[in-house]
Amino acid sequence: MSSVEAPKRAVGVRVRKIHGELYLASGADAWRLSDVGASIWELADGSRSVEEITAAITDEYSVDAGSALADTREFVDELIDKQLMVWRPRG
Amino acid sequence: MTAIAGVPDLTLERLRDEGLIPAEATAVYLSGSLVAGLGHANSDVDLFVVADERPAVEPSGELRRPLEPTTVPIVVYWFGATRVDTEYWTPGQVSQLVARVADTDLGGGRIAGVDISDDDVDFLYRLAVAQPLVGSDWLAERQRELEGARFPLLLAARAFTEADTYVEDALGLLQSDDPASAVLAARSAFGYTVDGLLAYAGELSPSAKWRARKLARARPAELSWDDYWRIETMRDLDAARPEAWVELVLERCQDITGRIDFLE
Repeated sequence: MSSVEAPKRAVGVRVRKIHGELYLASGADAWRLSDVGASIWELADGSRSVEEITAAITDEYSVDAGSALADTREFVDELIDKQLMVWRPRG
Repeated sequence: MTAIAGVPDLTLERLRDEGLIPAEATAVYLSGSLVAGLGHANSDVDLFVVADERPAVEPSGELRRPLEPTTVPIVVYWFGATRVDTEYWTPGQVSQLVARVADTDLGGGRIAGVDISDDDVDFLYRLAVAQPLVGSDWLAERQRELEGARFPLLLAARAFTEADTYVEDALGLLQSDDPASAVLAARSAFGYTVDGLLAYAGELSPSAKWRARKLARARPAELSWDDYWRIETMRDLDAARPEAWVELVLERCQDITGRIDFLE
């Protein structure tokens, strides 16, 4: 996905934090996010590209930038597939 | 002799003389909005008598609850211009309700829902904020039990579950081309979300009429007064684009519910 679009948390997804861990729920399904996944979820407000989200994650978790971009894309794509995120044109 | 709830002539002795308090009461306590620091000029006084004895005066009516015994006598009494609503609970009924909170599984309930009724919540809130006239040790022990059972978290989980329902409704209404109803559903979702946030912050009154005052008092970090009032009063609603306001409100609900850490 090009950087003219940005991932955004889908409205209607139920979100809870339990013992510091973030859970998403939609319909009868629920998912627990890892710490990195929770950070990506927080950053996905429709204003940041996947590359910008990855940069923030790389800074926060001191992970390899190359693999971080691929991992972030994979995670975002997975949430898009599950309709937990949507693509939004960047203003 | 101290007047109760600032009402002249309303004293424990006077209540006893009027036959409102049985001789062997386990506890007598005041509660409600006045006791919680939320009342208004026309607020009434809520009095609770916990005793195995029935009141000496003829009850004005009774509440029916899924407890054993199933009835709670009530007496409405006027002291001058002040209305005093008195409910008569047995110690066993109170214990059953407190146990209901302790038995609630906040594990699955945080997402799946919380099974406790509005009537239960109303009574337990009043128990949690009560001021004792008789039986302070008994009352303090019940309040400790409620605290141990994470009553505020239960209220928050319950309010968020209600909010979820309205969020789903708002989205469905938008899809069904009914933006006006979607706006109202989004507003309800926001109200319940704020109620949950405030319960988590220790503001336990379940009544929506105190929402603004509770928020001003609690000042939660997750929602400023200005942001709250802007949405509550629907200030940014554009009649030509109501779906934009609905989405903004639902995003705010999602943001708040994700910030409250259950069982941290």
